Amino acid sequence: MSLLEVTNVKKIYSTRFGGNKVQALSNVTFTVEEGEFVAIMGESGSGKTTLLNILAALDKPTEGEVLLEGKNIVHLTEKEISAFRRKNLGFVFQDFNLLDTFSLRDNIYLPLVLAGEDHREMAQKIRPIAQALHITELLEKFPYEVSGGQKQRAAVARALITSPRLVLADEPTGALDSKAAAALLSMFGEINEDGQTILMVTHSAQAASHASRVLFIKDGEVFHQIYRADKTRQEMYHMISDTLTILTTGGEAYA
Amino acid sequence: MRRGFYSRLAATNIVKNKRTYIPYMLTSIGCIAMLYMMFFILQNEGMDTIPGGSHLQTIVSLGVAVICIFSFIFLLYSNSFLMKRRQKEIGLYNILGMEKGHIARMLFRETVYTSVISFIGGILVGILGSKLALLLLLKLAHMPAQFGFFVSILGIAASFFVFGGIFFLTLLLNLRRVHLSQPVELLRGSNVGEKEPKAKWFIALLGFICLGIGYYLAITTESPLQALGNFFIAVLLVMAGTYLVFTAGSIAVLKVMRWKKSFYYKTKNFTSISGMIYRMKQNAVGLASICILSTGVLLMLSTTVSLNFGMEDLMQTRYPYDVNFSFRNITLEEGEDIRNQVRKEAEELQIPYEQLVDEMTLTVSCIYEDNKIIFKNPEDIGDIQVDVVTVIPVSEYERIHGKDPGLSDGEILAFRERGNMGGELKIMDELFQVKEWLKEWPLQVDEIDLFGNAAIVVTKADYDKIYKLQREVYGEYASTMKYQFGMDVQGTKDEQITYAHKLIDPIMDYVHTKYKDGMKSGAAGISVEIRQEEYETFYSMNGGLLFLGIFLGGLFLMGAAMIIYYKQISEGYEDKERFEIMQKVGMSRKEVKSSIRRQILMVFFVPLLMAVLHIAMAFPLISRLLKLMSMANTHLFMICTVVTILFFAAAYAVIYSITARSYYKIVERVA
Repeated sequence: MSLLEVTNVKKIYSTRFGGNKVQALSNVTFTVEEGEFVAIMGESGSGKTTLLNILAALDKPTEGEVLLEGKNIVHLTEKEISAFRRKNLGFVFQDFNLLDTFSLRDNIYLPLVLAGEDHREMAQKIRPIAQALHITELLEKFPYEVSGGQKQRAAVARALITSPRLVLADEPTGALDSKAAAALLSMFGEINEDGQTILMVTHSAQAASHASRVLFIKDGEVFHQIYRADKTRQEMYHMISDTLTILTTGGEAYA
Repeated sequence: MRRGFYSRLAATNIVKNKRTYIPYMLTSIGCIAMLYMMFFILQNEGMDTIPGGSHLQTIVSLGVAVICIFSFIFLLYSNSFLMKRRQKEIGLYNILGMEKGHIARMLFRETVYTSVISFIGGILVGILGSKLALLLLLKLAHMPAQFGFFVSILGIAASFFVFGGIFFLTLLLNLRRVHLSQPVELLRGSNVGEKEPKAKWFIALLGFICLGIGYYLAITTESPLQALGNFFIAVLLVMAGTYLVFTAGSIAVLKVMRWKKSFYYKTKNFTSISGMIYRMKQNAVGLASICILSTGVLLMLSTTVSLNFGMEDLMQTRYPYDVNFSFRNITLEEGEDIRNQVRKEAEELQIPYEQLVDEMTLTVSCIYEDNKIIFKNPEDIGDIQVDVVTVIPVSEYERIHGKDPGLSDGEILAFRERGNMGGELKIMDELFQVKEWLKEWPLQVDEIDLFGNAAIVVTKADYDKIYKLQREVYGEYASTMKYQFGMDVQGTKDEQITYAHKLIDPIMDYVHTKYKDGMKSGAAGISVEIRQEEYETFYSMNGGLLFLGIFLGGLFLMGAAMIIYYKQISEGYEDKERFEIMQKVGMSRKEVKSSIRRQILMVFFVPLLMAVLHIAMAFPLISRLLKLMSMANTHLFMICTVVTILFFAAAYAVIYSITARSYYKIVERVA
């Protein structure tokens, strides 16, 4: 059984007064296996963010099913959703979404506190993660005191501390300079090697080249996918670039 | 640019920002209306003629001053809030190509619009409400209702000048703000990353110490005379303490809470404590102001309400007898003569009376030192703790109690509430043997409970000796023998007054003809108090104070409401983002909601709780002050205070729930 199964997901937005309907996702089907690092690529407006929101149970699809470990998350009640999100998913956002009022440590603790864990256990859990992400010395600092890359690493630590089944990352490198972005992505690679499943939405070929599989979305559908297999990052990067070129020049013929 | 452009722009700006402009204008309207009504009352024709009217005028003038001061504070506060919120918008205009001069033109027009609307609205509400306010005042002051209605031109003019000035000042401040700022800064506006506030331990400690001393003074001050002085010290200390505790103390307390890990890392505490630390930084002053305004309202209302409800009690305390005459500066013989005259007249007039007090005494201020009574000029004492000793000639004691204690010179009977009760008592350097310590206050007239009381019964020779002793010390301020008689007279109010006058007129004539030269102090030495005649004065005083209490209470409540409202919106915008993030990390809607509720409940009810604490601590001191005003019924004061607090808390809760709604609207739009 796959970790995540997305079957025929469709999402239609209606404008406020029910007039115009906009189809964000027409028919998306794919699966993610345990331990994979999947990148989803597509242009602005291709439906990436909609898809991610549906996977995060922040939004509901108009049609179709999303199964996480065989459990359909589309039919969860409001109450179950937050607990589900807390237990099974870790989030990394483009703009970090750290709370200014908390130190990095407290920001990382946030999901654990919400889950009602004991503070001694939290302290134990944070140690290895902070070490791996090289933020041990920064834990007592506040978000406004550290750099963007450091903020994002704290956000990754927050996503990982609950040992989620799946980490969802939404343009995690979008607000970082190239050096910090590269560091973060290689960190994602390491985490993935330790067995963490990651699903990342991005439009950066550089970022996607770190993934073990890349899905391309166009006009609300999965248009194409590339497996890494034993390709180097460089090769992977070129393949992605080529695919993107085809995507943008509208090469329906190659599909 | 085309004509009318700025006017239209200004108008749309106000409409677009209605969420912040409406409360601003409502506050202005409220303040203007109140000021107008005050002038209406002052100018009212009847005011000069009705008895007690002058008291009312004084009280209302006081109200005018308070309204002016607080209107100024409230309007400047809300204006600064308004402009902070609009910083981004104005920065945008600047970047889109409007020069500062253009922005100034726009701001000028906006000020004109808001001022004109507020002024017209305020005057209309004032005119409509003025008659009601007057009727309320007259009713509270137990005065006859008046007919007729007029528009106070003076009121309109005064409001125009006062508020015209305030609005002009706000305009100047706003122009200065725009002039000094850089467009980029304006754009960034309120979104400057804020540091976590540091805990200022020393200031926090200072705050708690101020509060502590203030409370200590309020609770421990025993003498009502000291109470008055200490009251102002305590008020200042508590006010300073409140500000310090809210600004520094709150953050210190929250930080301590954060240290306690097992407490801090709990879902319900985690977000609120860290959120509050930030929130306190911006809100402490506002919250402290709310607290102090609330305390002021509660104090004013509880005291004035209890003065009114306690009017009967108060009159009984202040005027224990229906009719009370006293003659000072007389000798024993003269007193005896007047006494006989009174009895004769009363009998002839066939007045149905009951004699309650009929005695001659000498009351002298002094200091007790162990078993010694010392006469000393107040200037030389330094301490305001002054006591009194009442000297009773033995003939009077015998007459009151119907038995001769058989005193010889140098022997006395003594009464004392506390202190040394040995066999000897020294008065200055004279030694007296105490033949007997009396168990009860030996006079018919009640003890004055402002002082530590003592009374001694002495022979005629000793009386003269003591009289001389105090005369030597006090000189022209020396006490003199006082003959007092008080009686209850049967009959209605008017009958009582008539009887009293029938009785007193011939006695006055008698005294004036017979003792023309002997009673040098003349009328000053004679006092006549007819309780029924005094009611009017007291009603107008206390009713006027209650009216002012209600009015200013309303003003303060309005101010508090406005501060709370603006706090709620500004926090709403800030918290919106925070709660979005928390939801993404896995906080449920319900948890978000309850966390929001917890936080704002804490923030807005802490000032109320603090105000109630202030009132509770001030209670002993205030009840002593009320005693000075002859309001001795502490039980009644307690009830009035509790009821006032309940009403206030209800009003506060209503304001809170209305303003909280706008907060939820902002925060929950996305959540």
